[in-house]
Amino acid sequence: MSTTRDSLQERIAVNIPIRREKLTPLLLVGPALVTVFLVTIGPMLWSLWLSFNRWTPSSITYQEPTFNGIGNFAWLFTEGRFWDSAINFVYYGGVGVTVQVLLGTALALALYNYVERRSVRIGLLTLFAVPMMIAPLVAGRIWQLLLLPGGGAVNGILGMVGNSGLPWLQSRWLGLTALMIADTWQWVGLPLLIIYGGRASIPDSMYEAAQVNGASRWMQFRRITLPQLQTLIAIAFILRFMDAYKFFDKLFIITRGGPGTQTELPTFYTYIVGFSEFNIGRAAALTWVIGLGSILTMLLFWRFMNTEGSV
Amino acid sequence: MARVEIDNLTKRYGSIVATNDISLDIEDGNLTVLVGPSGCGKTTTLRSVAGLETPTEGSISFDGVDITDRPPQERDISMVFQDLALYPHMTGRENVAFPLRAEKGYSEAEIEEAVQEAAEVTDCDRFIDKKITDLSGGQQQRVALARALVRRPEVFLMDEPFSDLDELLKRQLRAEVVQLQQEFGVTMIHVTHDQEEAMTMGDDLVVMNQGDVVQFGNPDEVFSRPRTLFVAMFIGSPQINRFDCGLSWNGDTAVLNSGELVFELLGEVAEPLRRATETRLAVCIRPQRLSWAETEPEDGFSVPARVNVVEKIGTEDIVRCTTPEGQDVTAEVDSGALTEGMEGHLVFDPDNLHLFDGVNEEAERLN
Repeated sequence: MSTTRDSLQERIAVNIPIRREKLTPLLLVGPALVTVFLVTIGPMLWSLWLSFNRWTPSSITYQEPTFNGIGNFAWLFTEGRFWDSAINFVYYGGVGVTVQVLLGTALALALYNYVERRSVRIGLLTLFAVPMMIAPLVAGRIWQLLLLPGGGAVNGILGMVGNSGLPWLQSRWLGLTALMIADTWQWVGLPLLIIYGGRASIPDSMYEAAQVNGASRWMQFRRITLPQLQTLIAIAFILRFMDAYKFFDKLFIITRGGPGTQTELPTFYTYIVGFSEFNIGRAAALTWVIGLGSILTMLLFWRFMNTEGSV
Repeated sequence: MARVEIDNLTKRYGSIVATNDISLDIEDGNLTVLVGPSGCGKTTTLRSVAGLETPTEGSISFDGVDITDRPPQERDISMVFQDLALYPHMTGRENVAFPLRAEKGYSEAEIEEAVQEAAEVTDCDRFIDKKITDLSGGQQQRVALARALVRRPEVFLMDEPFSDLDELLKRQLRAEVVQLQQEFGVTMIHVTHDQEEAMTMGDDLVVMNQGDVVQFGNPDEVFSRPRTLFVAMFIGSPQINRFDCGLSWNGDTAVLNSGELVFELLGEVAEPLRRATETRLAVCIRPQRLSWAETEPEDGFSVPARVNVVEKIGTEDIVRCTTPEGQDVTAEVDSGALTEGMEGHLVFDPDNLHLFDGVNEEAERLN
């Protein structure tokens, strides 16, 4: 109490205007704020403006951006190729991310509970983490070769067990599934590491107490493990969803959107519209739709996780 | 309620022996305290009774039924853990209800009633609906007790549950636990490293050291007739005074010589010393059995001493003294009787001496 009064008295004594004290911090963070504005917020706003313009800078008769209202968005919602890519995303993002997170969770718990030797556990954890350190393009190339219909290792193995092999990259759903497999191979380590860390931080005594209290293994999992991992599982989901929204590189290598345009995902389609057709206005509109879609997904997801339990 | 029998329990972790061929017979409805320093095997013994450790050898039975191979779920026990092991994502009420839900076959109304009753006897009904993370240490302690009590188990196990609490709360909860144990008549095994806690709570004490049971008896017995030098040194506060002496005989007189002090014991008091097998013995006396004299009594036993520190503990003072050659001696005397710097003699009755055959921990009692 006395210190604040003292400092106030001091302030009155030397007559420092209080306003300047508020200005100083602003001046200090100012340069950083300007930089952030120039490199992120500025371009974002510019792209928002572009999404309401027609701008095809590569056409023979170059045109400045011309305002065309919601023309780009109207086009987007009637464009079948966009809707196909959106449906592809629901499959790829919905099923793929779910599989990755659930598989990662299952592997993490299995590693923690059933692999007794610490060295083996650490070794396996590392092994699962290694693919994350491989460049996505390289991972894509590896899987492209593995999945080649003739001579690819995957079909080779299927052949050995009497299957005639699958035309992996020659149909829409198999192509998307191939992408999913490649991405899961590369990224299952992330949910695995997150969930493993979470499980390791639950004290053993909690399970001992549960045993003494008479809880079966299933009840221990359902009432102790799961609720305490819930937040981490949600985080793993969100991290993988973020990646799914911007998934590009392996798609570019493995299917390149084909056969035809059947395995295109929204970001890939945006790339085609923006840098192949050079229709920048439409591409900008696409990025905004994707962005809003991702925000919406996250919000719904958090809401779902919060009503499910209360960690 | 059950009688707990532990027969020849041995638990080895690789080459480390945690408990070494322990046998205990714990009576139905008794509160037995396992006490000893860290690593003495008390917690391993408790965890074996709980079924959280599998004995390397030996067996455990409740009321004559061998339960050695049963998992904890099938033992009808409850346990309060050192870290309490409450489930942080649940409220106190959900924690207390957990054992009943695990057992199945209870209706919601029955669970509600049992939880309420457990909450009332442990005095935690005021905060039972709060989340565990919002409770204080003492409140969590009470919820843990309620969770352990709710199912009315045969055997109630406590693994140093009070070690993180402040002194006042610790004393209060000890008293409450003893009261609850008596009320429910449940067989309770309590583990602690705190000898004072052991003395105040236990019907029986099991003093353990390095994997062995050193003494099993009621607190008075353990305090007044420690079976080994280890028990004498471990039980009792302030710690017992100890003089390591060489033994020689002068006719019927046993001469105990510490180098500085010489005690000459005669007759009945000296008799047990005839059984000594070692040449150096530990001669011990409780601080409570020493009294102060300004001058050396002619026909009494005494130790010359100078008062260094006086610690106030209420109606008594603990005085830390040294002999002229620097050996520490502690005495407990009436409050205010002595002040620092005083010189005189600490007098004792040779009947109160504890004599041990040797100077190492395992040295056995002679008298």
